[in-house]
Amino acid sequence: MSYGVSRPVRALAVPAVVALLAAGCTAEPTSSGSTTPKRGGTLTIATDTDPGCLDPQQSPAAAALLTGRGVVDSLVAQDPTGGALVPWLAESWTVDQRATAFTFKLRTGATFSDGSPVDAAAVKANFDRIVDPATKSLLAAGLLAGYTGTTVSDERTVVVRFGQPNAGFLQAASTAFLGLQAPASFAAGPASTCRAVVGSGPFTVADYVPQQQVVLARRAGYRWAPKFAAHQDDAYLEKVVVTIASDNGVRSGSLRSGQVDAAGAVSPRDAAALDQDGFPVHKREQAGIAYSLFVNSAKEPWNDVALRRAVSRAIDPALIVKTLYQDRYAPAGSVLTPTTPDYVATAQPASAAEAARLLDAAGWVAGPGGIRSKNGQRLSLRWSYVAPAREQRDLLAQLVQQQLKAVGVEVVLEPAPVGDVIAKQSKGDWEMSDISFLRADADVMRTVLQSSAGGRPPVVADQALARDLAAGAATTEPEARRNSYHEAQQRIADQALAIPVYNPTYLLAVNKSVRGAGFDAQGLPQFYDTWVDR
Amino acid sequence: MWRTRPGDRSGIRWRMLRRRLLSAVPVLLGVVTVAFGIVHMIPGDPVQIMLGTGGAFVDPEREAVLRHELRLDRPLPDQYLAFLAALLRGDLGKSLQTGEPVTALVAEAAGPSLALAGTALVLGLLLGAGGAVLGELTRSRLLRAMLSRLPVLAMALPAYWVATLLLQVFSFRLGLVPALGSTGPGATVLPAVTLALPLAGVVAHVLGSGLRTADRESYVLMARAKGATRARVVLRHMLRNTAVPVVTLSGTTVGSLLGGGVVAETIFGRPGLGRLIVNALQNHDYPVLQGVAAFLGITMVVISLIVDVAYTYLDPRVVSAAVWK
Repeated sequence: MSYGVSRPVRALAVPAVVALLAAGCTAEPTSSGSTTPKRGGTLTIATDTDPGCLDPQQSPAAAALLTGRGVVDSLVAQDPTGGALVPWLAESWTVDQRATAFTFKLRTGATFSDGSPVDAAAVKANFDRIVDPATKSLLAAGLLAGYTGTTVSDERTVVVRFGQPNAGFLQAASTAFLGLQAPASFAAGPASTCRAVVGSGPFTVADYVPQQQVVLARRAGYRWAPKFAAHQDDAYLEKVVVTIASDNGVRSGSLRSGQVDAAGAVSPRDAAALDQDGFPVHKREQAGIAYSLFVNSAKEPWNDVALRRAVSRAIDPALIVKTLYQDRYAPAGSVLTPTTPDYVATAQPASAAEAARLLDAAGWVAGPGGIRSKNGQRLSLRWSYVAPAREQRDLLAQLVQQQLKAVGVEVVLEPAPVGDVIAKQSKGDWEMSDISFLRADADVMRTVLQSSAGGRPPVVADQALARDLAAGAATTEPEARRNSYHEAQQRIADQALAIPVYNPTYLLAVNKSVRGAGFDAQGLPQFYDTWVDR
Repeated sequence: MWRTRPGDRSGIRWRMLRRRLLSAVPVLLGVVTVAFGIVHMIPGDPVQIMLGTGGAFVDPEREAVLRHELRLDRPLPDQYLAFLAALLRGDLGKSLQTGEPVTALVAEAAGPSLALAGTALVLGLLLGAGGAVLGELTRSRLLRAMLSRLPVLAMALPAYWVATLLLQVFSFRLGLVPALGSTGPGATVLPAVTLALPLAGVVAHVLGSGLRTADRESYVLMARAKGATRARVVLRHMLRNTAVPVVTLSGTTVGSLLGGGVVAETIFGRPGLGRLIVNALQNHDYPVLQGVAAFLGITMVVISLIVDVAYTYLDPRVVSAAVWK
């Protein structure tokens, strides 16, 4: 679930994902010491990004999920182990044949922290609010694409309808982006929920100082955690303080000096040293689109699949992750990451020789400076990427440049501010681009990689792929979905429509008193089951 | 216009203030106009950035709706006039990102920024002036040589490096102050030192060379001849005479301390105007950028007024000049 959005774009705005609170989470067993959870205490975690707006219905930032997940519950929950969708605020649901009408039966007894009930009217108020242009929802509204309305059948039953099949909606409904908030809190306008989200989750927003910290306080009387959670009643922690420290060194230094209990978004470089010094580093590959490169197949000469295949074979993800990420991130095996449901491995081993053979066969021969050309045209790719880049993606671009140069393909690197990059891409004026995107559902390929409207960057205009993705979106039958999505991934690999490089991975370092630290389905830290042993 | 008695400086000060306040109006108009122009010249489009970072792709329909919602579909001159009209009412508009009033965002960020800039200014002046005076008074050649070279070093140190070093030593190793946050005086010390060092360097440099020049002036010889001690000559006579450029410098520095503290703010996890600007810049949040520019413009006008008034106390010639105009 969840889309923390790590697009080229998000580079700064949402660098790295965030830590997430609460429900929807597995607890990893941690080291030695007491094994009976203790109640109370404060967990302080340093994270890298300020959410800007805390309301996940408005903000696309993964940082908004960090705090939002603990505060809002969703209709359904996604099990971090295996990705199955299980009851949460809805105790059961049915979907029609075409995946256009979703009927949810709500559980009884759940309330928002303002005391109002989580009922059918509240569900309708939430979804209607998300699609209202005045809310300026940036991501949540996209998840409800094609939404035609919610019908309240009775106090505990709602039907959510779409104009076209939207099988991905169930998983989307498990994310904090579509999490339910108290309808009364909408009255004061979107700006007010940016500061204080009111949900039915195990925590409430106690304080938010932008650019500095978010304080969550435990809510008494929480009794509706998803089944897979390690416990069922109130959260163990009395308080969670999320402090914002964008500098890697400051986060790890604060952890070492005991000023914080946990450091999120740890850089691979710091991870080994922290591990050695007794600060366990928890790691989880995030679900969604792997960090991938795209060659614009709508542009000459890159409409030739042989050239795209050559580029794909020339890039060596294994060497890249070893050099840049000390193998803490894994090389990608498909355009989806392995933690995404319906993932299938499609990657072929890198081979400069094979790349060279493909290029030779296509008639591109090495000219001056080793760069190939054909009929006087140089084999060159312009790559405009967002700077400043996160996760050392600027260095990654240079490695890719070297690896492609070795087979005679020139890459011209054009680091540019977010605005420039998006402006160019939305005009279709791009040759090479890169993204990663957080969401634990294979439907992410349809929403992110494919645009019917000829919009955003890697527009994958491939008929066969479009059919596979549409088929996946039109059925909630697991077997049929899996088949469609396996085919889609194979098609992407075969046509070299995307070149997956690495699996974005969340590294969470904690001190020894932190227990039960774990991750939710999309790979963000959760704290509902977390406790401190001191 | 020799209407005021020579001794009546306060009347002259008032008239000077009034004249400066009037001239501040076109200056402010210029500042907000330039700010408006510049933010709209930045390549890229806020709506595309919002949708591009958030959604899967920019759906033209949603783009149009959002653009209308944010009133970005109106012609630029209309937007400019609406901006000016709202500004006159004291309304800086709403953030494109969060919909919060810009005045509230600026006010919220200005508090910690003012505290930080104020502390840094005081620290910088004390360190800089102290260094310059010590360099003038000391008999040790070594110390004098060191004190005359240190300012250049202090100016050259990158803020990022200084901040990281200070954190490593004083927070992570010695545990004297918290690394993050803006609560309590402890949290202000390190970021203030980070900002104060280059300022101290400039102050020491300017004041030091001023003092060395003043040393050759006849009034110094006169004072010495009348039996004043070296310390008294430096502190009472020379310092006052060389203080004018330092005051000017302090005035102009406050602006950069207020808006330019982004490195210190980011590393030390403090809210502030610097981060507000950078964040707004990344998201092309026009109203916030314009609001901060307007705020900084007003602040600079007020500070330059204070500086002008300070001149009249430091240097009687300033008052005479004002009188003769």
